[in-house]
Amino acid sequence: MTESLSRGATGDPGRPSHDDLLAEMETLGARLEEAEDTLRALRQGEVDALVVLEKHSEKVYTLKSADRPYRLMIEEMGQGTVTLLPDGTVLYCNRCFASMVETPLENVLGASIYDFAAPASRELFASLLRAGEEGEPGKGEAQLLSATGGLIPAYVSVTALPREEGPALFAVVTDLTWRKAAAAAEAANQAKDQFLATLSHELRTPLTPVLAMVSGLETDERLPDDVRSRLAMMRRNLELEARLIDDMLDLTRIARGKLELKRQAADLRQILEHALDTMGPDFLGKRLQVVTALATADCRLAGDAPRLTQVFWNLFHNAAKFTPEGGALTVSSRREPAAAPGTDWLVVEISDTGIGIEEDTMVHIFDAFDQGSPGTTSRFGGLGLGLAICKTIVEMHGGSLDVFSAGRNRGSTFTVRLPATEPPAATPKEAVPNQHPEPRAAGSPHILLIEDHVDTAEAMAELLRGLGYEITVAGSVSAALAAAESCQSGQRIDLVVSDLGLPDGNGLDLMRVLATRHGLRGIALSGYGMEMDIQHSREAGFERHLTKPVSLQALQTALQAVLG
Amino acid sequence: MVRQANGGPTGKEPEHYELRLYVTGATPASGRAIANLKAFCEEHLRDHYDLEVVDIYQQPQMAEEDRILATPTLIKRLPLPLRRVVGDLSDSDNVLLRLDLSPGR
Repeated sequence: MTESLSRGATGDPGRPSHDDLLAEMETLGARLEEAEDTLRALRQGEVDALVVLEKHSEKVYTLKSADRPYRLMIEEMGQGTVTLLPDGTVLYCNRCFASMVETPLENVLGASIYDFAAPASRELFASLLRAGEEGEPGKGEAQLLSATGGLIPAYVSVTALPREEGPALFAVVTDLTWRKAAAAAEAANQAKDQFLATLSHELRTPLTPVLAMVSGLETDERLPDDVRSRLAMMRRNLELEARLIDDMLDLTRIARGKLELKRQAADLRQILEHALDTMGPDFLGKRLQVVTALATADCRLAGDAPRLTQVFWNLFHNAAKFTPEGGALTVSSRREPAAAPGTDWLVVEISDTGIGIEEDTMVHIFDAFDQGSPGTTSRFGGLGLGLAICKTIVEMHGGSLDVFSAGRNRGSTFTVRLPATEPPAATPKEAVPNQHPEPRAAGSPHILLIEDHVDTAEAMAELLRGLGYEITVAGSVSAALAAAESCQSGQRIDLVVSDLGLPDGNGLDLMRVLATRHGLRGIALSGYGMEMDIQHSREAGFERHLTKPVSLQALQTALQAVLG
Repeated sequence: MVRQANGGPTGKEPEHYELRLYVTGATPASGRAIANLKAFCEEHLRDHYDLEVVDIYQQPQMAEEDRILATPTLIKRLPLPLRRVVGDLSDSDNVLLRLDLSPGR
């Protein structure tokens, strides 16, 4: 503009004429108006590109830039991003970084990155920046320092940012606080699981010999009937205790998503009948009137039979527990069409005339540790885990478990829905293992029994001998290896049945040696029944993994399966 | 905060400067402006200035309040009168002049 003024004045030796000045003013006014209007247009966003003069050429700068979406992404991302000069000056950071260091954005930009590094991490930042300046990307774990003096564990990754005017660096900063906290929580959770596994092992160990002995005696026909019925009562209560321990283990599996189903072709009617059979004495004990109306229709489904038996056993047990003496229990099943065409539900209803459930507690009835009210717990005992486990198992089968009660003392009805298998999927049923194990005929397979708990070893050896097996007992890894050596030349060993926790080593290592050196096969006995434990057993060479307490029948089934 | 005497004409405690620089992330001119301003402040205003750097993408409302037309723009908020300098601040004599820091004044 000054140029225009002076040009306007050229050729005029004295003062410019009035007219000239007026004309000049007019031109200037128009130019000013034009400039102001241009500014207004710029300010009001009516312009989307600017032409800028540079040294040799004109360049067009777009205002609504194409990289705006990327800018937004960086701004909103959950990791800190910082653009730096090699000396540590912050040219740019996103909101995430500013909030990590608890500093307003305008006080981070222009500051030095070293202001936000804990003293111990300043050298790391310096070396990352040096490397970055030379084009070497680098990364490391550092501690940031927030405005309030807090230390934030962070993962810092630095890369070079090519720029015309010299190197800049781009840092991505990941807050590790959450991950560290999550890792700590996970470790605590594992410690809890480990504790529960150990606890259940410790609780089960003494049950093993007692349960084995009692169930052996119960089937001993030389004993008078009244003694055997008392033994049956003892066995039922021992089994009940074992089940409570199992529930605890199941719950830790469910909580960690580690409950696994082994789904095979199964028959719901058989499962129900089996569960009802085992409940018989409980029903009799409370003089409950049990009415069963099981569907005669096709009841096949793809399910984990032991798990489903557990569900119904729990539901029957609950009904019996919460129904006063002389009450009634109705179990009915039917097949009905599901919403999806061509699919059917197998529906089982279990109704009782018991204490019922009040409406406001109905919603919590499937929560773990919930038994309705504290009064219920003290009156009826138990841990309140059964229904939570039942519901999970049924839902894992693609079914549902619902409850209805008309109110206090008006009974309850539990409804289980499970998807039925379509008729053509018939598969031959597996032979049901013998309920009352018979002593084995001649041939006498030789079993090396490795168990350090003396009572357990003695009880099991006696029971197995009763079944016709020849037994050698070893109480430690060294005794077992010695027995295997001495038997190599003479009488051979057909099978190893081994505890996993032994005083001078563990059963897994022992089995590896016995399998590779002596070609022996084995069954593992363990107080630990988590999926991981079973997998470890398999890897060590055990063909079966039985979780203590092992009933005589379960052991017998496993022996028959392995020895053929 | 330690405030050093900066050899001003009166010799008494120097005035405190509150500066605010508007930028557009780490774009070339904005990057240069930040580096130039840091060097400038360390040379002329050491220990008696506060600097805020505002990214107009992140805080458009501040840009609006300060009526920013282009970036980079430096605003001297204190001492009054308020002054603005547009550009990458590479000419430090010009910056001295525009911030009323020129020894000639």
